[in-house]
Amino acid sequence: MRSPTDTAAADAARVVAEWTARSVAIIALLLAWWSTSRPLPWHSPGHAGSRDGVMTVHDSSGTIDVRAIGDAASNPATRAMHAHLREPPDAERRALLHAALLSGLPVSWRADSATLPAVALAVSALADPTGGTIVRTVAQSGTPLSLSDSVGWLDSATAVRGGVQWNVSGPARAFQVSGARSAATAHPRLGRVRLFAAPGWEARFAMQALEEAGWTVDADFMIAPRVSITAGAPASLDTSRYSAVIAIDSTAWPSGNAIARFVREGGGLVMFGSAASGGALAPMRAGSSASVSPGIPGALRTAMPREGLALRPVTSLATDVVVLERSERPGSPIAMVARRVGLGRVVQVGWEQTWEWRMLGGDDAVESHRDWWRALLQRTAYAPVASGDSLTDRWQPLPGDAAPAADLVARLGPAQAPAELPTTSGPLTPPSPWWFVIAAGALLAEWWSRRLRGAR
Amino acid sequence: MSGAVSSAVNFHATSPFVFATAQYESGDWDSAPSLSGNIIDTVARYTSLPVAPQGVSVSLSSEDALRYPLLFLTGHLPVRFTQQEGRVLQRYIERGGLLFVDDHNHDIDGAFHKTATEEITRLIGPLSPLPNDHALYSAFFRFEDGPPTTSHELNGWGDNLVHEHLFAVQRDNRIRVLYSNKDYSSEWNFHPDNKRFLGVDPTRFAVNLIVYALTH
Repeated sequence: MRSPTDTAAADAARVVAEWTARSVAIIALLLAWWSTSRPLPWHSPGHAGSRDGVMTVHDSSGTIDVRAIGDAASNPATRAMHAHLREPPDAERRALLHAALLSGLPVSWRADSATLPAVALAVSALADPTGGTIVRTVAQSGTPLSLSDSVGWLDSATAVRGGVQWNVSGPARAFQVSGARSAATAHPRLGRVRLFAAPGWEARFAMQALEEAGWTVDADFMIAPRVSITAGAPASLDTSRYSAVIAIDSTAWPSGNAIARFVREGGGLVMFGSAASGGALAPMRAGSSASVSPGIPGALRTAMPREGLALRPVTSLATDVVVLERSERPGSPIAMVARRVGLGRVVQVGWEQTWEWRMLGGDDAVESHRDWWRALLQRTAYAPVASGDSLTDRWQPLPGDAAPAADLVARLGPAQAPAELPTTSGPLTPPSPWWFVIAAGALLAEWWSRRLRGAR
Repeated sequence: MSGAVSSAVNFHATSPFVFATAQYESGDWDSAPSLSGNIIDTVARYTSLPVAPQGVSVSLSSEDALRYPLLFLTGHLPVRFTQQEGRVLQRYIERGGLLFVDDHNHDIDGAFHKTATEEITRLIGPLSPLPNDHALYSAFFRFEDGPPTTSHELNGWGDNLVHEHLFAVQRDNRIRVLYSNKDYSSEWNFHPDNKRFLGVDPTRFAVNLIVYALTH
C-alpha cells in the first residue's frame, strides 16, 4: 500500500502528464489550423513551375509542353497561368491557352520581343499564266525572316520598311515565314490579253514579251485603210475571254466604250500615254499625259534602264490614284500610276517605246523587259478564283496562323507580367487528419489519467 | 495571222519604220544601192505604215544595229563575219531582231551562198526550208505558191533553178533569220523610174516581209 506521500507524488506527475497531453492536443489543433492557411502544393510535369498559385509554362526546349498547359489548367491549385515564350506558339497551344482563359483562369504571357517576332503573312496566287505566288510579309524593320514551304527553306531576308515581299515560282501552296503560316488561293482562271496598237516595234515586242511570259495575245493591226491584220483571234471584249487590255496608242479610242465597260466589270487596263491623251479612254485615265521628254543617253545599259526611255510624265493626278513609279530625272516626274475603275484596275504608263530597252539594254535586257511586262499584267489582270477553290481557311475573327503573334494577342491580350494574386484567394491545403488523431489521442490520454486518479 | 478587212481607223502613228541595210567588213554589202528606196516607196504606196523616207546603213560591228529590228543583208562575195560582227549578230537575234539575207548571185553553189549559210549556221543555227503556206506569204499580199519567183530565176540565170522555198531559222515560232537565194536584190534594185513599166510590182513581197516583222 502506497503512502500518502507516494500518492501525492504520483498525482503530481499525472497532473504534469495531463497538462502535457492537453498541450499536445492544442498544438496539434493549432498545426491543423495553420496547415489549412497554406496554398495547395502542386507538382509540375516538366516545363512548368508554380509560385503562389501562378503556374508558369515555358518553351525552354523549343515549344511548350501541351501536357503542361493541360495539367496546369486542370489542377485545382492553379489560380493563374503565365506562359513565358521564346517563339510564337503554334495554333494548338494558342488554342489551349485561349481555352484556359475562357474557362475563367487568368492567363498571361510574356516574351522577349527579339525572339518573338511579330510577323504577319499574306499569300496569294499571281495573275500569271506560268503560275507563281506572291508572299507579302509584314514585320518590324530589321527583323530577320526566313521563307520556307513544306519541302524546306527557300530564302531569307531582313525586313526593311516594315516588311519583305517574295515572288515564288511554282504552284500555289502553303508558305511559312518565321512561324507565320499561310496558304495561297488556288491559281486563278486567266483569259487572254487584247492589244490595241498601231503596227510598230512597240506592239511587236510587247506581244513577244507577253507571249514569252505565257499570255495569249490578240491584236488587230491596221496596215492600210480598210485593211487590218489580226494576231490571234480577237473577239468582243468581256471578262470571260480577256483578262486585260493593253492600249498603246489611239487605236484603242474607237473601242473606248467597250474597254470602259470591260474595266468596270473587273478587267484590267494598261494604258500608255498616247492612248490616255484623249478619246473615250480619257475618263479612265489616272492623270494627264505631259509632253515627251527624251531618254537619258546611255541609261538603257545601266541599273535603271527605263531612264533611257522617252517618258511622257503623268500629271494632274486623279484623287484616287496610287503612284507606282517615279523617274529619277529632275523633279521626279511620275512614270506609272494605278487606280480602280469599277471592279477593274487601270495602270497608266508614262514610258514610251519600251522595245528599245529590250534591244539596246544590258545583258539581262530581254528578261527584265519581259518581267516588266509580266508585272504590268500581274497588277491589272482580271483573275477570278472559282468559288470553293480557296486553299486558305474560311474567314475567322482571329488572325490565325498567318500572324501567330497577333493571334496570341487577340486571344490572350498583350504581353504582361504574371498576375500578382492575393494570398487569401484560391483553394487551401486541407488539414492533415493526423493532427486530429494526435489531438484526440492526447485528450483521451489526459481524460483517462484524470479518471484513474479520481479527478473529474 | 490572216488578212482581214475592217473599217478605217485614224490612228496616231508610232515611230516610223526605218529600212536598214547591214554593213559587214567582208564582201560587198552595198551591191543593191537602189533597193532600199524602192522598198520604202512600195511600203508607202500600199500601206499606211509610217515609214522613214530614207533608209540607213548600219554596221554589224556596232550596237547601233540593235536599233533596227529588221535588217537586210545582201552581197555577191564570200561572207566572213568578224568576231565583233558575230557577237552583235547573235545578240541581235537573241533579242528578237529579224535578219533577211538575200544571195545577190542567184547561184546555189555561189561563194556568197556557201559562206553566208555557213556563217548563219555557225552563229545562229541551221536553216530550214520555210513552208510555202507560212504566215509570211499572207502577211499583206497573198502569195499562194510561196515566195514569188524573180525574173533572174525565170530567165535561167545563175544556177538555172527556180527555188521553191526560202529558208529560215525560227525560234518561238518566229522567224529570226530569213534566207533567200532567189536574188531579190537584183529584182528590187531597179531604177525607180522603171517601176511604172512593170506589169506586176516585184517589190510587193517586201511589204509582206516588213508587215510580218512588225506584227510577229
